Amino acid sequence: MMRKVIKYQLWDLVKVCLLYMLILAALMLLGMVGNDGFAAEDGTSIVASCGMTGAVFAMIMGMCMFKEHFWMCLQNGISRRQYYLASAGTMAVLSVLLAAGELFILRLLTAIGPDGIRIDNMGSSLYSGWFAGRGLLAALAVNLVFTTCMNLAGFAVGYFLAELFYRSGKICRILIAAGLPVVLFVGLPYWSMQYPRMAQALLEKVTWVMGLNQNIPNPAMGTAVMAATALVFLLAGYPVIRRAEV
Amino acid sequence: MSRIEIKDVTKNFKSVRAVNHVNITLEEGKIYGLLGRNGAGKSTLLNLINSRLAVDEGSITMDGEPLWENPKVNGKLYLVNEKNLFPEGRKVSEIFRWTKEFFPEFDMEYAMHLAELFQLDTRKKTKGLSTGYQSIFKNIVALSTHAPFVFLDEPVLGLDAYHRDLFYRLLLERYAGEPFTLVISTHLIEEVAGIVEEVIILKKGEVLKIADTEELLNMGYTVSGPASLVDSYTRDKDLAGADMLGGLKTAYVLGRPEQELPEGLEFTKMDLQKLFIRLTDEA
Repeated sequence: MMRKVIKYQLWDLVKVCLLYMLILAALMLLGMVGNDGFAAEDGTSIVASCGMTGAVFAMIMGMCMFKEHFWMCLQNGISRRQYYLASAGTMAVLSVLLAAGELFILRLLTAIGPDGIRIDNMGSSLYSGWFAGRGLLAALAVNLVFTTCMNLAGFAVGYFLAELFYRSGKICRILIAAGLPVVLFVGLPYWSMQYPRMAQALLEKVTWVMGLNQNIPNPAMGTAVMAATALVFLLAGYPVIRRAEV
Repeated sequence: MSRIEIKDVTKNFKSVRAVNHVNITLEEGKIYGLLGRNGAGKSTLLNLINSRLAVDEGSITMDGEPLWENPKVNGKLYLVNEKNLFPEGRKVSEIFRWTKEFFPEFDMEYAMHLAELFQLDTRKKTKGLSTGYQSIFKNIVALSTHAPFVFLDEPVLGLDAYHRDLFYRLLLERYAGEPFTLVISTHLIEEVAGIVEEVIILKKGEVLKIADTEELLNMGYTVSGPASLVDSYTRDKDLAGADMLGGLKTAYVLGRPEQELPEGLEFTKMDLQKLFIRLTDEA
């Protein structure tokens, strides 16, 4: 039965993923317009990056997919446990597909685009020191794994937020819906302005854990952090829906 | 023979006890009418049986297996109610397709045939259906799954008289072809009185009465005729209710009629709706 749930979820979500890929490609192409033939005299390139759009997109998908799929599965006699395990499987599959698609598009556009332009993603941007000089296959493989784990973390966070929202009463929902953006976009910046040394220390800890503050940044550490984040949120999510009601 | 046993089940919503120590057994191959006034706990009970809500006390089992979170038995039940759990952006045909995926016994041909009979456009998205067609669509899915236990909560909500008549005819045809356990929860008691074999009446979250329809109808009788004669006859009788039309009166009497009945009056079977109103009357 879990295979059927995964099949349904993939069928439901694959169109939106393809649309996302098309939009990503179109935006990247648009960015290349007017930059035809550019190359600096010293041989350096313009480097563009799609950043963590994949992970943000995954987070939004995680938030959107929970309730509709949960209800559809309950209607069809699927247990909450089966549904949750299947959803985790779907998120893993989509994370790989999104990562592979992203890398393919960026590689393709870099290859066919004007000279002097290189397009990176989050992995190759953060760990450019490590990727420099690596063979193509090794670089792609490491980037794929890192991006997959980052996407999965995005999915897991979004899904967890949706579960919390579903199970919460009115006050908690307001706290989540209004509180989270306020904390992230107002609270954190304000706090870092008020306590710059604490903020700096926190940033150093984060960069250390992600393997970024070394001579040659280490993508393995970043991958482990992303994977651990995904695992923590996925494990935390099941108790939330174990007795979820309609 | 499969059966569902509901033992001492209680469900609370904050300070409201919606279902209170309910004990019911649902046998295989029977049609049950689940009746009760608004807020009696009918929908809550159906949701508890189908694992959409968790019980606070008691247990619900099928052949000894707990129903909660049990994939072995969950696939043998199917509930449709007012709440639409199907994705709103999906077409009816897509819902049929995916129901077949989850319920391999789902009869696609039968579902499409019913859709044609009801003139339901399967290319439409579920959110684009009217209230009546939402009910029709869900009923078609429920009848086509071939689940051994089917629960219909207000199945004729929004249906016009023609579609209601068609629905009941198709329901009986389906039942005659392959008996299954059907539990219908409805306020239109008169319409289901001729269909249900056993009646379960809930009142304030508790079971008020469980009885065969025949046994229930034998709890009383109907007497009609000129108002004065009826009044004279029923002077010392326990009445469930009465209706007047001009000079004619119909009274619903609890108990058994006498062996010898007075002239000028007509005696017929009890009206289930009147009996229900009397049994569930707060006053």
